[in-house]
Amino acid sequence: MASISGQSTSNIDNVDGFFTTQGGSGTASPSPTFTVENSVTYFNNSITITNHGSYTDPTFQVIVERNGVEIVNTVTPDTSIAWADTADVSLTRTIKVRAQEFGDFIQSAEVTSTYTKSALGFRYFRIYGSSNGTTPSTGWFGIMNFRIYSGAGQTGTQYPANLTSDSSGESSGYFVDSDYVYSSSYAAYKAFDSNLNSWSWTLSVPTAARNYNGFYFDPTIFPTVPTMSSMTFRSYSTPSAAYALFMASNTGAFSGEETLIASARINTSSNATYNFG
Amino acid sequence: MEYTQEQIDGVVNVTGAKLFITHVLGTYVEAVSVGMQLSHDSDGLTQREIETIQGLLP
Repeated sequence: MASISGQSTSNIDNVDGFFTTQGGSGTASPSPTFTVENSVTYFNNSITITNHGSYTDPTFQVIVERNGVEIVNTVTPDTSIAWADTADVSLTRTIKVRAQEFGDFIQSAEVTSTYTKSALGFRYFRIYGSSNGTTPSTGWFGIMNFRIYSGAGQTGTQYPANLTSDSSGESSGYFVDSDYVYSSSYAAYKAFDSNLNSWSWTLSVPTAARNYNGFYFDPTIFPTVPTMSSMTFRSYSTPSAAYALFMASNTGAFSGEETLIASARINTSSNATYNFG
Repeated sequence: MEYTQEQIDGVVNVTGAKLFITHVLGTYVEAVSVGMQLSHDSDGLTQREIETIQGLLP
């Protein structure tokens, strides 16, 4: 029995002791409790089940809806449940979580929460190398490509436009934002040229604070920064950094005001592309 | 990627043959990997690049 008068049966289970699906223990699993990683996110989000230990062999169903349209539906026994949100930025998302314990034929009641997906309205973007996924370190890494797009799914206008030198984009409002590369053979602009076989490289970077490469929008040419929704990054193989941190700022200070908009584990043995949004 | 004998020799001279062979046989050695990249890109090794590779030796 999937629905009664258009209402999902799982939503009306245990009303006055009535269950629409009978069998197993005959009782619904206890309701899950969880925390949401980000109340505002740019690409991904996750929840952590906080009462996992109170179940025996549970599975959890997570549904995320945007304006009533399902954009995520996953079932997992995991405590931490993550998803990529590739839908448009507008409108609040509703997270719906149910638990089902082994032996129970009836899911728990639905527990809900919400979050918002925001556009990337920042002026400065940097990628830092990191050993722990949260703070920069001196582990070197190489950027073969780093671009941000106006549309979801790496579509629309590409920022920055293709560069042919560290200063070639300045007349168009695109400034390379880098403090260290190993040599001119691995210049910063090579993260933003159209050649996927060249890269900027922070090999032997002396301090964590200098272990980045990025770009920013000139405030004269871009008094208002473009609205951006997705991003791509191609990493050079076998970096000594375990993670790439994607940081954004509106001042360029990167002294605590910056926002960590995404991270990616990059310690792979071959070049790899990571898409967000 | 293709290498000349001179590019390979330059790296082996810094890392030693044992580490080089270890890497070639499938056990990743950062000094060899980085050394081969640097040797290829600059068609030989500068003193700074040699010091960089030496700094990565296990």
